[in-house]
Amino acid sequence: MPQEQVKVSGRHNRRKVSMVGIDTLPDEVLARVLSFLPVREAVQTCVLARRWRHLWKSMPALRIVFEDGPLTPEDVDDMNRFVNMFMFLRDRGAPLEFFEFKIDDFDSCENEPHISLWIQQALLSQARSLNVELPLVCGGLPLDDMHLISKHLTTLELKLVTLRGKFLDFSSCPVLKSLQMRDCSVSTSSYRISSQSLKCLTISGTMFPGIRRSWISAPSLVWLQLTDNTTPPLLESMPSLVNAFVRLNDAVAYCGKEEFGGSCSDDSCNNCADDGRLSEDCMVLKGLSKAESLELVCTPGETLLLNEWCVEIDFDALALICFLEHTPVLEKLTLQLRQAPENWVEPRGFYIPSKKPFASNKLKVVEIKCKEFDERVHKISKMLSIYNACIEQINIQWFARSSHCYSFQTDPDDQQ
Amino acid sequence: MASAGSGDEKAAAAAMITLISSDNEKFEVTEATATLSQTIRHMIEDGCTDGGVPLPNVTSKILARVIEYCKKHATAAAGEEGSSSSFSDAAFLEVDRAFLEELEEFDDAFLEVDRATLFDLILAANYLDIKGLLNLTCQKVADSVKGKTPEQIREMYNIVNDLTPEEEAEIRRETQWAFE
Repeated sequence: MPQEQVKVSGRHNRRKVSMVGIDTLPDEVLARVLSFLPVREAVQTCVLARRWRHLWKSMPALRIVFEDGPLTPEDVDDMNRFVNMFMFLRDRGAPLEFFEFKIDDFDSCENEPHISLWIQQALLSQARSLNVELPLVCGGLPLDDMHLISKHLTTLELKLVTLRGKFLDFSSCPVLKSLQMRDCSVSTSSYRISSQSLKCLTISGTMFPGIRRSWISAPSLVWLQLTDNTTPPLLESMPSLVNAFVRLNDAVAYCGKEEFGGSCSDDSCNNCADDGRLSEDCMVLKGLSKAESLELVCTPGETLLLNEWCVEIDFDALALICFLEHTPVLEKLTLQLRQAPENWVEPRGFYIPSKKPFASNKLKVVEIKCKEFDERVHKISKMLSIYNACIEQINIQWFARSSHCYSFQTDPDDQQ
Repeated sequence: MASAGSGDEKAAAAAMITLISSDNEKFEVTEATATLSQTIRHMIEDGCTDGGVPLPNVTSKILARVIEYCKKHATAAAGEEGSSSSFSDAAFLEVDRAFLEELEEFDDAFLEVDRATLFDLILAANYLDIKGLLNLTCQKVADSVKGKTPEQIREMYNIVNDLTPEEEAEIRRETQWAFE
């Protein structure tokens, strides 16, 4: 553009008196600057000068963030009108790298933001990264039961969102690499979180309906974090898995017998609990350990962290042995124990391991982290050394602090 | 931090790249540092970095600052890889918090520059395609105009209003939905 040339050459003269104009920056950079402004202010720059009139339309990121107290129904109306206009008028040819929608709170449930529509529009604008955080009102804001379709989406982060089954099928997002679900809830009873491309999956604090036939199918997964979910889904084979971090709180357990033809021996099998109680905290573990067609395979040299799985060790320690038989290349195992249950009892019953003591003869290091050095630690170490001669090292650490739950990955301070 | 140490070792073993500024000054950097720039990454992939990479749009003064940024952030990337996962997306990793804070402090200090330098850094980051640096510097400009009226923004950044009053009124009518 000839005018710009003039301005650029004029800049050097002006710079000497430190009067550099913003007009020296190219359009795509100015559009990026605008994307860091509150979105309404960004649009209002259209009156600055002729060059600025359409710049907002090609902003590479859209951040709709309301953090100043609850939105009244009128605020929601305004927001809907504004964002609808924005999406309608923006330049669809300008790719959207990032779409973030985050609201703190609302006053009423009558008016809801048109978030499902905007997600679709963002995907049409080739959004690569979507980040949605909704307030906890009216029992969660459900997104439409829609398939996400995008050749560009690589990252999806959801917080406090209510989802239905179709949304969790990512087969039409062939480059999706990472998915984070925090404090979400899934309202469909039978669903499958599926993606061929997913490498990194975090599901935390999420409520799943306690009904069978729900599972995660992500064969390319490298990094898995499953923490504090209720009734987490079962896992299909993940041959590329490098790091798994699993912490089970309040999980309603049941085994994978029906789906996978495992060898659950319990006759009242709601959850494989041999004493008839609901055995909490062991569903995924049991899903993995009982189902023969289901193996959690880690590549050699990698680490699997099982966190707080064996609260009720009297029963679960047996599951651990069984589990280890199904993870033949595991090299390092970390166990974190919460406070011992008051009614802790000696293990009853036996698990008879297969001919070789542990198929996982690569397991070299076991770390046990606990609050108190209690009977369970002793039991586990003893059991491990009986069943597996290859273990070189069993490290036992305990913490003095009494926080509710320990997670040495997320809370490095706790280790001191 | 152990992971930072391993990052340094990795860097030391890596190949060196020579960057040449517009005023012909040469900078030796590791490949890990240089490849924070997508532009340079592509050049390395195409095998055309022998004899140095000429950067005719970047002065030595600015290039030195850009390299300073890349060094710091390349260490961070290496640290992530060395720690809990090989997946290098910080958002998903429980990376060392102290280190992240240090990085933030570094970024804040890095942005303490005059406007001409800031704009030159933006242009360099844009040309070299260094996303992190580009976003950081663009955010700094955005922060400086946040909450300002159009008139204040024009004054602050020497924007000449070349719209006639009629045109401006027309644009305001057109985008009334954003001015309500």
